[in-house]
Amino acid sequence: MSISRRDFLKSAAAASVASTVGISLPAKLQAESQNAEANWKWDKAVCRFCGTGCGIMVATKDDSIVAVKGDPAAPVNRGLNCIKGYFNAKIMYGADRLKTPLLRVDENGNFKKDGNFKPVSWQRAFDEMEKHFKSAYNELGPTGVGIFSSGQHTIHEGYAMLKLAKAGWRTNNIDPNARHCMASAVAGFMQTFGIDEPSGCYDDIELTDTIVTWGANMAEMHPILWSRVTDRKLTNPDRVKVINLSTYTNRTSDLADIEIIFRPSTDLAIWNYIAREIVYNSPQSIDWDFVNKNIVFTTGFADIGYGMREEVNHAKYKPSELDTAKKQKEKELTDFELVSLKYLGYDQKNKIMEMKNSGKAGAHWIIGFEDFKKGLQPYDLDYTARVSKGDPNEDLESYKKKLKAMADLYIEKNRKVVSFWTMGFNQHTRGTWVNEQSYMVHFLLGKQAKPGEGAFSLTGQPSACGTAREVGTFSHRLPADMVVANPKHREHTEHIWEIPATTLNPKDGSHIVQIMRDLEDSKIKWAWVQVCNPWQDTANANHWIKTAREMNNFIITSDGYPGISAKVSDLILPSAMIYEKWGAYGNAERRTQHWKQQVTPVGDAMPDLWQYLEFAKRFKLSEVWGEKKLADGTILPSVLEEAKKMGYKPEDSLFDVLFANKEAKSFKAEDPIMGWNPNTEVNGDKRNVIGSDGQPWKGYGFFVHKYLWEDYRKFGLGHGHDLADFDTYHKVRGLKWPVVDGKETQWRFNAKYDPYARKANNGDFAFYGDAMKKLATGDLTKPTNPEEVSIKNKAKIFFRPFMEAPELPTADYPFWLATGRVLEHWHSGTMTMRVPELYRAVPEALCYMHPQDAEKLGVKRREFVWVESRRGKVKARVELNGRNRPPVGLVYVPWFDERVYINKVTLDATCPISKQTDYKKCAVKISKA
Amino acid sequence: MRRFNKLSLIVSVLLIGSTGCLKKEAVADTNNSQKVQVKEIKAEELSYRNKSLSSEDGVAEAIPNADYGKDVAGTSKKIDRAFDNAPPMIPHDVADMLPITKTSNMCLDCHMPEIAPTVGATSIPKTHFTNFRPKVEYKNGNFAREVDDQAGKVVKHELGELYQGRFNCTQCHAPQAVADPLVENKFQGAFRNNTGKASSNLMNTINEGVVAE
Repeated sequence: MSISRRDFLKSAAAASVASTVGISLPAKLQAESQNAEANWKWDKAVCRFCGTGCGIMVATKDDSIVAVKGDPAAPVNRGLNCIKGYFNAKIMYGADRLKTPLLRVDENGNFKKDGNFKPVSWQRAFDEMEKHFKSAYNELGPTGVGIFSSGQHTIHEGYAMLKLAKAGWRTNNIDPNARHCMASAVAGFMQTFGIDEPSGCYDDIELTDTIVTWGANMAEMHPILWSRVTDRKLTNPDRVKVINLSTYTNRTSDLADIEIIFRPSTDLAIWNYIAREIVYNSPQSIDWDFVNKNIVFTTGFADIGYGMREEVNHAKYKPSELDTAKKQKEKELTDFELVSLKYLGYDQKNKIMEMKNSGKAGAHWIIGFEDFKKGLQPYDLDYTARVSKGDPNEDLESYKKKLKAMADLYIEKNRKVVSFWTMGFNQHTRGTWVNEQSYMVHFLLGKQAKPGEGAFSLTGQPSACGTAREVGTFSHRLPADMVVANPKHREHTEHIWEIPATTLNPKDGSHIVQIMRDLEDSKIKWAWVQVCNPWQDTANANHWIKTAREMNNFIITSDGYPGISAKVSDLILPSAMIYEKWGAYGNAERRTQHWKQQVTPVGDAMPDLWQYLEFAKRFKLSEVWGEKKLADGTILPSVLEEAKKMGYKPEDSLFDVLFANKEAKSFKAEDPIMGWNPNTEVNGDKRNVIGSDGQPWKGYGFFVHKYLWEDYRKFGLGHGHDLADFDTYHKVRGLKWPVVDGKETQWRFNAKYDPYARKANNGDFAFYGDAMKKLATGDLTKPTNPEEVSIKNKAKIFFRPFMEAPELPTADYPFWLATGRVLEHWHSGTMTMRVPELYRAVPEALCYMHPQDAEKLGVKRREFVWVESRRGKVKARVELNGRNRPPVGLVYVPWFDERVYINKVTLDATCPISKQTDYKKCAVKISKA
Repeated sequence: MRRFNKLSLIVSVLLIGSTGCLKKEAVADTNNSQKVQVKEIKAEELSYRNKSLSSEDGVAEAIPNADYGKDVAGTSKKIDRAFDNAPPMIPHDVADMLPITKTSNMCLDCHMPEIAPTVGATSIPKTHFTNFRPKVEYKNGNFAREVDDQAGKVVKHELGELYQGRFNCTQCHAPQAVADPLVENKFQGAFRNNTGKASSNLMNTINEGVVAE
């Protein structure tokens, strides 16, 4: 800080009519006396919902939560919450909370796949899980089981489950619902920066002049960040510009200066148009100093398929699915694509693209600037406007003016620009590409990794960053950006976990969509759903319902409520919800925030962490660390001899070795951080729940949360992911990693703010991520010189062409379907539909459509329509003038409602690089019901 | 409300199995009358889609036709807050008042404190005229914040006008459909005093329990 606080206050006071007072917090004494009066205990916690990561204050009385308020000291939200945030506590009190394990049984109480549910004890539940696990595991090996993990897993839960799966069972079949949410952002970061997560932070909002939202309806999906944008915009209405790019008009448009409604998938063309404007028409705006020092130009293959099954005639496809399915192997390019892909040799006579590189989707190589420039050539204003205009009723010339105005704002010298995106980019069959393109423009202009400037990926879930990404609960990952395929990373992990060398499985596991497909193919026969709802959130759901109910497998769902995944399961486990357990989440600006348990869980519900650790007790080393064969024939060697040398016995349990080892037990239950708060895992609780061994649960007796945190933290220290110690997080309102010498980091890669960038000694910036930093060289079409060049400390500008979505509207299926969320409901609605205020705010999922389309179909507002694709159909009421106002030819249906099961309709195509499903684009027909 | 009763029944069944070990054993294994009840929890009876997942027959038709209340602003009965200082829900028709745009916010026409009492509207409270965010500045290549984020301090800028971060009223306040709850909710919000259900005193209590370290 170069100005003193006093000077700052002086200047701030002069600049504003506001009276500016930094109030020191009331003394603890004062708080206590007030609390005694109300008999309430206030404690800090974190919001359960989106990736914004707001701080909340929770008041408890007599072991119940009685009130919630925004935490005025929390840097993210400073006292304000959105409507969901205020109902954080109420989500725990729905009358149909799950309170005992429920197992499908016959009349004699034996497990029966098509039986009805009956309450069973925890012991019986674990017995049944163990039996079916070992049956699948012994038959199929480590690839025969799967875990549906979550961006709502606490960091501790995700870390414990990762360790159990990868170190214990030696399976990499663990993948989070975050795969559906920000995998394309991750792939974009890894490919571009060599390290995951944004360079900027939320302070950029108050510092920028321009906010451009690309497929991010922030007004509903990140309402508190939108509140900050709103304040910035409305207090500087002339200087600050807001641009909303979307495929339909939404609440974010309501505040925007420019709204650009584009045709689905054409954001790829729009980015290239901006880049072309820079390179061809404003070359002086290129920050050559920055680019020359810090950037290499790269590209990759275009014929990479759409992440659908490689077996395009798979027996489980319905005939109606086959025409879309075959595009995984080849497709006829559209006229627009024949322009954008001309550089690859396609033309009217040669318009079939064979997807030859679907197995190398992420491969890329260095190209020269002239090649990059050549790639951008087709994207002039005229072509781009014709390709991308999304509202048939809009005049092309006025649309062109808006594109040009946006490009001008990006290019304007001394204008700071932040680009935000969420699912519009990430849920995209070219999601990784479009992420990379955002950095392309910001890098060219030198507007990245600086205060108020940068492309910034907003995260959907509360701990998609903290757990899914940082812990690495993906099928290919290990903590701190390491991957299972890298022998050095495995070795490092084995060392930290104190497990024998070669324990870890070197083969990538199945990503979350593949886990569903593996279940359908009987390659996985046992799966555990944790803090997520994959049977409601996976596209093309009819397949997966059948798979769960009609095939020989065993599916377990741990949840607070009986959502759709629970309903299709064989065993349901009742989980403690958010403030019934200790935990930590990590938000979109790399801020890690911890909270303490506030109340005792309901019924016999137990924390997910306890469930994992209790299940770990069911496995002896001899059962999992002997020689194992993977589905592809790979042999994992026995590590039992090595384990003996390390002092482990074959009869030791995974619980003993991974979670209750000597180090773990050194974290005592008696700890000042424990405070007044309950801790069900450590101390048991007043219920004396009959546990997994048939005995009353009395607690582990050591501070397992603190152990897991300190164990996990070893991965990041010194590797650019440094986290603070457990105790610190219980004293502060979160910290943005890397936390070095007690200080958080605001702008990464910028030597002025990031100690790692300073350490690299590379000038003002250092893009020090080390993944994919050795590349071959080539031209726009292919690598030509395989010799790898090191690009240490550099980032990449990718050239990526425009390509259409695989399933376009046709005469039979004439509408685009986009799906998503609404402000008042969280994801599948399992929690928020049980809060009367939120339910009544949006009591059902509606089909939002244009009034002209409704007229053509002969339907009125609130009448039912069928929304039908090649895969399935659902019925929903029509809305014509609500918060979402689609252009002619597009409908929007949110997915929070069990009764409007829209994922029966969506297509399970993914970005071939990130494997993230595109929930924003498929073709449907609409008919009056 | 048939749906509601059915759910309540399941709820009570699940509750029986949860109150301590003795009762649970009784339910699971020995108590015949209760055994009859717990034996038949069909998947369709769980949650609120009380139909098969495989078929859409009759599913949407069972969704109550619950549109938002049509009471005109000024004539509607206010809705009690859910707990102390919870944001109040909107009791009147807003169909012609939304969307809120950067040039038009019809909510303010009636709810600004100088007008609200005269039209019987809930008055926007003091918190909404306060910016709790420390000022930040980036000048000459240097970033500065009014107070250190890590200090756990609360900052109050009393603006004398609406804090524009609160301009999007519908971010916290929503109109309510005329419908029974889909699932009963047992949350018991607490209020510090009698007026808490209808008004906010958050400006006076916002620091309560927010302990600086």
